[in-house]
Amino acid sequence: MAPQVLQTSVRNKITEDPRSVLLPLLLAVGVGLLAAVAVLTWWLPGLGTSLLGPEPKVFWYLSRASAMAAYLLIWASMAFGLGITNRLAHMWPGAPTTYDLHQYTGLLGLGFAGLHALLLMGDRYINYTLTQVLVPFAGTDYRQISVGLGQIAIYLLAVVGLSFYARKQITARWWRIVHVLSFLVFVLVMVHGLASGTDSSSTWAVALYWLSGSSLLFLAVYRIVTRRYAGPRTGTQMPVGATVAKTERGHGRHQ
Amino acid sequence: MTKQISRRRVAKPPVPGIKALVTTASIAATLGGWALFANQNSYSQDFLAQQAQELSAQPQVPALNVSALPALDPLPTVVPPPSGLAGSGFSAQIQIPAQVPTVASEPKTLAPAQSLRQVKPPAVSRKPAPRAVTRSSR
Repeated sequence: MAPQVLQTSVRNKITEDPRSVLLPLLLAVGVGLLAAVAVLTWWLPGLGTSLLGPEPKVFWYLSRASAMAAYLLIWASMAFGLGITNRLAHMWPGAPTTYDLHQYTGLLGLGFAGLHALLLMGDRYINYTLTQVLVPFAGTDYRQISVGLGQIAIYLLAVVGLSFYARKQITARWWRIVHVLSFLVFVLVMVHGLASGTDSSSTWAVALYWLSGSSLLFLAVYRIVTRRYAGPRTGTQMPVGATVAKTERGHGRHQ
Repeated sequence: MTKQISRRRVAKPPVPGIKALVTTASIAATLGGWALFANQNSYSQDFLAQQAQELSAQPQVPALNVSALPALDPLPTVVPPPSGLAGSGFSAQIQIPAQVPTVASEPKTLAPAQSLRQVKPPAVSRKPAPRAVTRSSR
């Protein structure tokens, strides 16, 4: 048996073997439980007050935390996407894996962003209605402009995220145009976070914004520079498995 | 006879482990953030309560001991001293004019009271009292 075939079969065997997934999962659950027992005794008073106190703020805290998780996921999706196009992902972890993660983190970020918005309906201070959550600039009580920009960003993110599923139906040109929107999404998300985020003035949040913004800027500039020096594209940038066929109009269509 | 090995690259299997890790980390970050924010807030509330307690525990301003005050000379004034002080040395320092100055001319008669402007009292605001909860207190 040739080494390449052997390697592939071993890899598939490892992936299909449930024990290879189950053991690390059990280990992670065990470590998580131990950490929870150690930490919860310290955190329980605060959690209890936020849930059962005279002024329960659980929705407010969860909304802030989910917003940060969504921001990090959107950043990761952008970084993976730029890694594919500037070929850094070819070194590690490989274009197909990066593409898969790019799509997954983008959709997960969309989910967490939606959760962040919907949780605000439960907060007694902001007290948003469903209409105020869904319609941009409808909530006038709290920083209307920056909150509205965040709402627009969620809708644009939905367009970008769901375009993965409409990929066979749209041309490569439209696919690229929709994906360029993700840069606008990130800028809108950042402006929204900086202008209306409660934690934006804290040191860790400032560091987070600087690190995420500068890293994406670096990856984007690196992409432009490598493209300029590499010259015209000789092959497709799409991951393995996606081939490009010419349509009648001459546009490339990914299949 | 050897089998021809295809040079076509085999698509790598998906990454369920990494996806599960990313999902778990996101949920953990959300729940951890909740715990951290709640803990921060309870600390700040504890701190405020402690400060209030310290302020209330501080001794009150001591009562004024009049006898310990230095005896100062009375200030000169044109107003006659109260009758209670007439016998004291206080009245000796006051220069009361011997004669009340006469008015050179009669003052002009005042305008009738009807010409006075009617002043309306300011309207009482019926707005509800402002809410005590502020963004900074959250």
